[in-house]
Amino acid sequence: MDIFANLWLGLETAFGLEPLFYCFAGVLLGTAIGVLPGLGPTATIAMLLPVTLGLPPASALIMLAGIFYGAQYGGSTTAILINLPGEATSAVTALDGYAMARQGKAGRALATAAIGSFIAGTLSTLLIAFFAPPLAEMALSFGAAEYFSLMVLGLIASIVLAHGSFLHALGMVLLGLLLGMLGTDVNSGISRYTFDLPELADGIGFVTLAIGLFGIGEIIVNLERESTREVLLKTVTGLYPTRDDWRRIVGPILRGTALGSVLGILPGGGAILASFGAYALEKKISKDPSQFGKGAIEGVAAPEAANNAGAQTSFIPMLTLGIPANPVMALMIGAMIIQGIQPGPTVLTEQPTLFWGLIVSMWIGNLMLLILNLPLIGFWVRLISIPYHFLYPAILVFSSIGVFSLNNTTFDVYLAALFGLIGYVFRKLDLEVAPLLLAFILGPMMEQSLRRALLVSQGDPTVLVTRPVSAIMLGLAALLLGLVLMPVFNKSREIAFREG
Amino acid sequence: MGPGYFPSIISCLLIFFGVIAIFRSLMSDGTVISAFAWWAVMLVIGSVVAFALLINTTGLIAAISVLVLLSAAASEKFRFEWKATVGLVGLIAFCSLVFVKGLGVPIHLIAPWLKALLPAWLGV
Repeated sequence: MDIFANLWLGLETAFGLEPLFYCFAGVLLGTAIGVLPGLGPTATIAMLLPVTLGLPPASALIMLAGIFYGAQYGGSTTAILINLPGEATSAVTALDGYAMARQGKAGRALATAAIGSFIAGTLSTLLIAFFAPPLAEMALSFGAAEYFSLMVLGLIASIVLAHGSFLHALGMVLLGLLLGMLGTDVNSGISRYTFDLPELADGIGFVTLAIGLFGIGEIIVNLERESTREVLLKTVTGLYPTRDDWRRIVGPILRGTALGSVLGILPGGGAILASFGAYALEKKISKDPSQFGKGAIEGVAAPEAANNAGAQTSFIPMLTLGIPANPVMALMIGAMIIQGIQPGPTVLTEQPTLFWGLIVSMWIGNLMLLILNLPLIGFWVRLISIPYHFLYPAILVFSSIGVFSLNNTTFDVYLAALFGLIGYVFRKLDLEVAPLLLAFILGPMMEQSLRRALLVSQGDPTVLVTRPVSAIMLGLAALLLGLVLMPVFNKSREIAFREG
Repeated sequence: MGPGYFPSIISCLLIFFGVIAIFRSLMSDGTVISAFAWWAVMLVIGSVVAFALLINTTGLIAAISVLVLLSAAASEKFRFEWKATVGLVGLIAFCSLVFVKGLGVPIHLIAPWLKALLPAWLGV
């Protein structure tokens, strides 16, 4: 079997001393930032991106990936122990997890979350190994028109999956596309939206934008709520689930994994929607739905499995098509470009050791997390109790130095401050930032594909609908748009986000 | 398909949906937006701007100190006591070692003109 030869290649790559070290460092750091509320993987990876320049490509990507899925583990710890989601994806875990903790079952809730995440991580890693190669092969036959339509579909999907107003999400996507246009046009060399500032000739850096909108903007929002943060910690005992617990969590974990794997591939808030959806599903099929919210172990197992599965499968479009499904994947693409690797379907054929090494390392990382997390729980508890007013000045320092070191100019730092302000206003107005970031990264790619497609067809835009694959994708996009505009669907979409 | 082709399409769409959004907002009563935390906004954004101003003029140590103290003032719980001082010194040491020594980011720890002003016995 080909797949086993490939996985073996991955094992050989991932089992070096150095990859193992960076995998460990990544998952440890990821758990730490996942545990700390108000510091997410997007901002952290953006801060660390300049640091990875000096590492070999495989190690850099393995570490960054570890931060991402490590954060999914860590977020649940905070959700269970202090009823505050460490990550947005853990918001529903807090409902039953915290209820369990109040009943003195914190240990079992934590173990359930870790086991659920591990099983989901293992299964979805296998999914990537099986489905990524054929998908990449298919993508190799894609022309410019197909790529353009695929990105349109992706952006529409991210609008549908965003919470809040459909119109607002659409506006954020369009704004993101425009921000991506900023800088020198590659084809003509003409400056666009630069206001004659030489610093803007290369456009806005993605890291600058992400740190501003996510990192700095988030800090101000957190400061507003500072007085409402209360830390309720109890000693954690009884880590092992009982036989009855096992019987109850197997089904939710498997269903959560399936739902999370599917939603994770889709662009937008895949992992977030996955955890909300999995919770709603378990509540619906449960024999005793009244237990949910009062410490039902199923309500911890399902969303945790779903968000980890979603986090893993969101690598699939990034690795096979070079198209990010969420802002973290966009940063991974940035990391690849820094390393001189052209993201896209050719990664699999040209960099097989990197590709398979990354996949196998994800499974190793999940295993490390399972082994690490439970014994280290005391350490994480201590980390949660660090007051926020010690944390955020340090985050600001790392962000500022990180942004400065990208091009060694202060201009980027001013820009990050500006985007911090804008990010705060966005949050105040309930505008979700993720679709904007996604559009920002896809904008230049979309423009290039559209131009190339129109060049080949000699300016005839019907090429987008006469090529079958492209037409199918545009059709799907139109279908999604139609669905979201239908009142019935829109209502259930809002309920899915509000559940709990 | 000139440089303005794609941006024009996007801008038109944005204007179109923007107008719809304005109309919709006139027709329905929205929820009230909670008050802006102007003080926190000014301190946090201001501290980052101050960092950018200082990093090439006075060096990293002064820039970090100003950034931390200014931004920390935005928190109602922050007090400048020994714990905060130790944290600040540790943070400066960490950043100097990792970013300047380790990663070779070209920043002065203390700008040359400032160094000349400091007494020699400090040994910097």
